[in-house]
Amino acid sequence: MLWLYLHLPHFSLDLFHRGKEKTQPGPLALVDAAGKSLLQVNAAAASQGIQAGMSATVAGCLVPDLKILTRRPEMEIAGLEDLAQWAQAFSARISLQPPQGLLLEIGSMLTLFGGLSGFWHRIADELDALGFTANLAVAWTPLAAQVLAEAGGGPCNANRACLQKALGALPVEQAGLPDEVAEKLVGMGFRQLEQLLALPVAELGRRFGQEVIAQLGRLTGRLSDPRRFYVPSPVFRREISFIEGIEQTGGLQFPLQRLTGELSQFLRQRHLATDTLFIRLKHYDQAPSSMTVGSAGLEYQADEFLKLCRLYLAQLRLPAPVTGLSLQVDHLQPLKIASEPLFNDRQERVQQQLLSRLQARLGRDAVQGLAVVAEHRPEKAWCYRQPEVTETACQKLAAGEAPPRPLWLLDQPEELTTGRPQLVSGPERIVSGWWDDDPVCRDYYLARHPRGGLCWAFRTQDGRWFIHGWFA
Amino acid sequence: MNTEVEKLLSRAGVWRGHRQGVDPGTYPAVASGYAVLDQCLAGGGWPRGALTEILSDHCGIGELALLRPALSFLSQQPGWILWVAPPFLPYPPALAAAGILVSRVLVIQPQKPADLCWAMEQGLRSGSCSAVLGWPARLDNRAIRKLQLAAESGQCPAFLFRPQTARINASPAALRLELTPLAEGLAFRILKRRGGWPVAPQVLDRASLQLPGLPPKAQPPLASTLVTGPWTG
Repeated sequence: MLWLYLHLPHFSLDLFHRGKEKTQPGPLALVDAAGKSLLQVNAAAASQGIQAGMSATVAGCLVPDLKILTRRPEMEIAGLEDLAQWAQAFSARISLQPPQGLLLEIGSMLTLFGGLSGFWHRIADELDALGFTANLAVAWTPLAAQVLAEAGGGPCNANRACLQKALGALPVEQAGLPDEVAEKLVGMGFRQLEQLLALPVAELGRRFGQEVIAQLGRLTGRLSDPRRFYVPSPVFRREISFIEGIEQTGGLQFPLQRLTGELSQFLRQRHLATDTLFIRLKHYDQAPSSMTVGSAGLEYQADEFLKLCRLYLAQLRLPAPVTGLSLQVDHLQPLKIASEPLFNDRQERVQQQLLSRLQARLGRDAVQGLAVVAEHRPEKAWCYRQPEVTETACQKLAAGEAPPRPLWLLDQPEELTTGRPQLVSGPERIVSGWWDDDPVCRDYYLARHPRGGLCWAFRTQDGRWFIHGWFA
Repeated sequence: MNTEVEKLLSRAGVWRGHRQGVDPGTYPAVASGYAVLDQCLAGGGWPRGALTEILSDHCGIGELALLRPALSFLSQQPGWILWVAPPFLPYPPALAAAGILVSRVLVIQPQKPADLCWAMEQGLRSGSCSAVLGWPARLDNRAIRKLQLAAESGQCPAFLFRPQTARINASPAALRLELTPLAEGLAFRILKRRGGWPVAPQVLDRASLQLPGLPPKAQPPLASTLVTGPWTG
């Protein structure tokens, strides 16, 4: 298996600079959390004499316009994962080597790209376009590729003899051995790796220990070196930062359009769909505000997502200008292809979309479906329920002589102050509910109301009259 | 007559004043279920793809009974039946008894009046509703025109229930009815309809509206089973 290693010597600095325009960065340096010594310097700083390991104050004195950035490990890991996602276009087997490296298995991909040199130049060009400086190296073992890349890059040649020569020409300090072992070896007079590799393994092991010969074994391929490959997590997360803060929700339309387009592509490629989006808005001096956009059913199309986001955004008031917008989707479910005829499926989807839109603007509580409950007490013989799109609706029709029920039911029965109304028919006695503290003992009558219309009136045990509904 | 003139006269936009000489295909309609009403309406029923205004001062005088057969028929087809801001709850057991599928009913209670018009418009335009009923508090003509256009584009029957005071204003709705309750039933007057002049009030009696409360029809007793008195002692 042929391996390619990408070593990014100043990865953090590149990540910081990527958001800015495409000019050459000025001198940049990275300090660790303590802020004392420099970890990485970019090319512009190195050309002015700054080196990694220097103290930050000395570097500041040497180069007055040096920009010093603090290292953020979480940004590095996120950036490495994003780079791994990009690298999936080049290889299916990618291994992350934090903090600054990426390992790709390319033996299976060379025919697609037209040989090693085509592959090499393509990757180098694309990395350059993304804004990263990288050293590339190929080898027949992962560790050899890593060592060659960290030393400054290897030859673009898959020939074993040539690679062996390049490996052998490496200084011993750069072979990836522990520091004290490397010091001892240098003190013994070993200059290049090939001198070390020429020695018998048993002797080396007795002198330096098992780890050293294990390392050399992995380097030469004598021992296997399995690596854990990167598996992209099934979560969609994209973020766009803005240079100036956006003050009105109208200005968020285009970034949202881009994000929903990317989401739709992501879902389509993996044959997934979702019904919840988390949108987070970052503000300059305030805690980020967030919004959850839900749809009634599983969706995967960009314009539906955009419509729903617009509806939610229209009701959002921005507390401060927005400096960053991120879209995250956690709940992904496989997309079911309905086996119903096309017409039914389309009708159901249109119904579901209408439901999502109504719920998005009016709120879930304002849009309700109804259901019949088997209960004698009229005010409890129904309930609200979450509306669902059902293709076949079956309902037992009330058999024959069911007692009449009004089409309008009042929320609370209204007392009739004028006393007994003009009765038309009845009574229907309902006595129920003694078991759950809500007993009802009423005689229901159909009555004619003085202003016209037929109402459903009842008389309680103490002789008071109420209206409970209208026969409209 | 000249065929060009014939064609022009048989189009729906041209109405010859003396009768409705238009074939029913030009006005798609849902049969209302009441022959007296259907005769007066263009297309023989409630117009699909147009707005119907029902004006009445009170709720519960029989306005829903007028729509009940049409709603029962429409609920058999896939699609929501939207009730936007109803004054009371549409009682599910009564809906079920009337033959309206309760699972297709969607009740919307918007907080703002602008949301009411928006919800009705969305329902009408989407093409996923089989009927939309609305009880607006106050509507101006511009909003009614938008609803009329939305109903046309979605080909969905739309019903607006408004107070009788709205009668004096002109409205872009295709059909306007005014309802008055009577002891024996419901009186309806057509204020505006397509392809005809306004119609004088007509009465739908309680029996044909199938409102309950009538004494059951007296069945003639079977002589063999009837035992008559008087009994002494």
